[in-house]
Amino acid sequence: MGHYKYFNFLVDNLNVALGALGLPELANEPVHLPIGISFFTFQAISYLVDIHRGDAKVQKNPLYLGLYISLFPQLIAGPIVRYNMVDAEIRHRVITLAHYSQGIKLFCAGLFMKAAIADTMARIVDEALVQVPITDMGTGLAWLVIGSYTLQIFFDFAGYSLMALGLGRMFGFTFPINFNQPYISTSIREFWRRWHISLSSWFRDYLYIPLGGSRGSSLTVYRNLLIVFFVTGLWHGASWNFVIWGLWHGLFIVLERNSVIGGTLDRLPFLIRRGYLLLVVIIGWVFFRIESLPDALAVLKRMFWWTPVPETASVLADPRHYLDGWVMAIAALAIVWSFISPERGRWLADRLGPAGSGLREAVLSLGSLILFAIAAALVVAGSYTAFIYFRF
Amino acid sequence: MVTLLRLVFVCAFVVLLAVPGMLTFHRVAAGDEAARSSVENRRYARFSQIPNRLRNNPDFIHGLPSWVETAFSDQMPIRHDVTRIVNSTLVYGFGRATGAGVSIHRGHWFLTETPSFTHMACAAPAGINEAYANLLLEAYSGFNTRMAARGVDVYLILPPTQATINPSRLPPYLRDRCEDQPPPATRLVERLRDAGARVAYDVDWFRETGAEHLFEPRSYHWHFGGGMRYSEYLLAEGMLSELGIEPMPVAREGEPNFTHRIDLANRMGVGWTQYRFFRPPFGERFRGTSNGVQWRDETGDDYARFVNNGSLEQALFTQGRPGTGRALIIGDSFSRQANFYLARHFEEALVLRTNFMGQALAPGSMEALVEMYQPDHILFIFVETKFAPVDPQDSQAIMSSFLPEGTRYRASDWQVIREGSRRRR
Repeated sequence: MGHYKYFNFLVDNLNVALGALGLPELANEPVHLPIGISFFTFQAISYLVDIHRGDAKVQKNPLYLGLYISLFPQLIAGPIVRYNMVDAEIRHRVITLAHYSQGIKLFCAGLFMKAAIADTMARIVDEALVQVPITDMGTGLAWLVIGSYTLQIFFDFAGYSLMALGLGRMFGFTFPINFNQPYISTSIREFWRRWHISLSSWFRDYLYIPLGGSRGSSLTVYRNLLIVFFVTGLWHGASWNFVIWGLWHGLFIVLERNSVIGGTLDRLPFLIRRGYLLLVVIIGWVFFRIESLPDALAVLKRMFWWTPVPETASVLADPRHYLDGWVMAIAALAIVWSFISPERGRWLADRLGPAGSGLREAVLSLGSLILFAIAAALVVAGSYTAFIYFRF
Repeated sequence: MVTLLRLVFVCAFVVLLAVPGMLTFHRVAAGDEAARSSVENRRYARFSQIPNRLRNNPDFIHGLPSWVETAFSDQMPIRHDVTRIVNSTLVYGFGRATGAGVSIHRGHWFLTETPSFTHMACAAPAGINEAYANLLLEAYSGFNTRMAARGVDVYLILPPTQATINPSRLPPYLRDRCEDQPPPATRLVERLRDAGARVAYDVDWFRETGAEHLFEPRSYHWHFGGGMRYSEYLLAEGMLSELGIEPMPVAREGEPNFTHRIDLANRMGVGWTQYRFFRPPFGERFRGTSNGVQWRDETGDDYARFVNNGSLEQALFTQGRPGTGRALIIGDSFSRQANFYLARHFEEALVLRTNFMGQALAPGSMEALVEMYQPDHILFIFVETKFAPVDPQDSQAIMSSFLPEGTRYRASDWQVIREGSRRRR
């Protein structure tokens, strides 16, 4: 992974330094990144560490170990599955009609999240960022683009994770949930307990705790946190914008850990805490999406400093260009979906009857088939957008 | 009871997955296959040919072997049916815009069968927006004058769409509107020629040449065979005959196939399309991504390498005919089917596709290209609706690029264009 993912980055940065010193640059034949390398490498590491710690038994059957490393439903974009989570299921799986049916439902919901919601939002983001010069971008368009990306990245990644969970369920595996409504969080700490849970728990167990975790002085803990989030950023991509994004989150984790700031935040009204969380996360997505730091800062400036659209800008700089009926409907659905708490979701499901009741099963089954039909039709008819996390 | 429901649900899911696929195997694209196959100079792929092709074809460029995609594209018309249902729902139910830079306007009609959500336009009853036509004429004529002063030949090629040539093949709602209309760029081309511009707008040639086979069956686009046939005609019948360039034959059996792919691998999410292109020394200005496609640099001057991938977007050809000068060939998606054939006739040719230039299509960009590349000839290949659109906003980037560096359309000009582009809500 170090070679495939970070070699180009290392050489590029070395060349910048060498160039500044007037030295000849290193020749670099670009290294091409194998798909999903960050995920299956982390799974393999977790296996080795768990064996070393005695938390898991050695798997002596190479086919079983190969199955764990290359399990296709979650191979490409997670969730990162620990070996001890699936050890028993690798040896012996039970596939029932209930499992299969549940797996299909999860898959249908995930496909809809990706094909209907994430791809609709992606079209706004991609079209605006490619076609509109940042100098022509007004405050309205800047917010529309980043707001759309906020929804896109959640539904894209959570959709894939849900599809992976569903496929796993169909084959008798129970993968861990990877997203738990992250945008309902009221702090960055809580956000990382709900966003890409398998990655954050991986870093907690295999990096943060070995570094000393929460033991030691405040400064030591802050250092550990910043290291973890620096590496988290770098894990997402060998590029400085991801490092900035990781450190941005690390900074707020550190601030929230401070007893004065964290305590004050905890006493604030719920809506203000929610607003704070969304603001920090949305600003973070600017760095995540826009690779060039000057461009990211220019977009941020336009978001927070009123900037009208120049008179001579093309109609593509007008936010209204992007807001047709379909976008509005999907955006409304996405916002409601993002902000329903798990408890509220369960409450809604319970209105249909207890788990396993006929009415509940019928409604959820029919709903899943409708979601699947819509998503499949959109995939067939629409232009394709790759999963964002395929490149990590 | 619950078990039965689950069983029904699983069966319904399997049916939803399998039946459309099974049906399509029995719905082979019928009718004009032989004629289309002749024009495209290739046998259409069939699923039954897969085993032999698998042994002989190591091509995994797109994640799946190209013959799989070719077979799906050639033999699975059900995809168009699904596309039509979805697109109709989106357009009529939600007022959905139809693609990058395209909105829904009065006078636009949509070819809802096309996966790219192609918008169609034939001459609107009220004709082309006159204010727009004046702006375009002024910009393009000014560019031509400046190029003439530098001794550079400029030629504009406007391929017509299927809506103009074969209105009888269009869906009824389009056919009714397009059948009795004159070709949309007729008046504009007259004005351009009056201003001294050299323009090829050979609607009659298409109509006389069995042109129904030059276009993709369910799109307003021509296909590779059509693009090359027309290019061959252009070269033979005048466009460059003054330079003494003999047209080369279009590709025949044994040469690389020029197929139209649906890129199944990408749609299934199992592979990246890697567009091969040569990055000219000044290429930074034109780099970009489109629809999430990642571009990959690849230096090379053998046109076959590009052709084999079917993805010629930006390339420099250096294996042409000595003494014929340098050509700069710029166009939209219609140029993709013709540019590599045309490029081979020049000593050297730089081919660029405007669809991928994005922000680079600013005032001064065309002259900047000329300044950097120093061509002897410039060929513009834009579909007729790019120059004669129902909606002026579709053309504003191209129009702007003909303006001199440092100039922009005045706010009042844009106001004129915007008023013509107001969305229907």
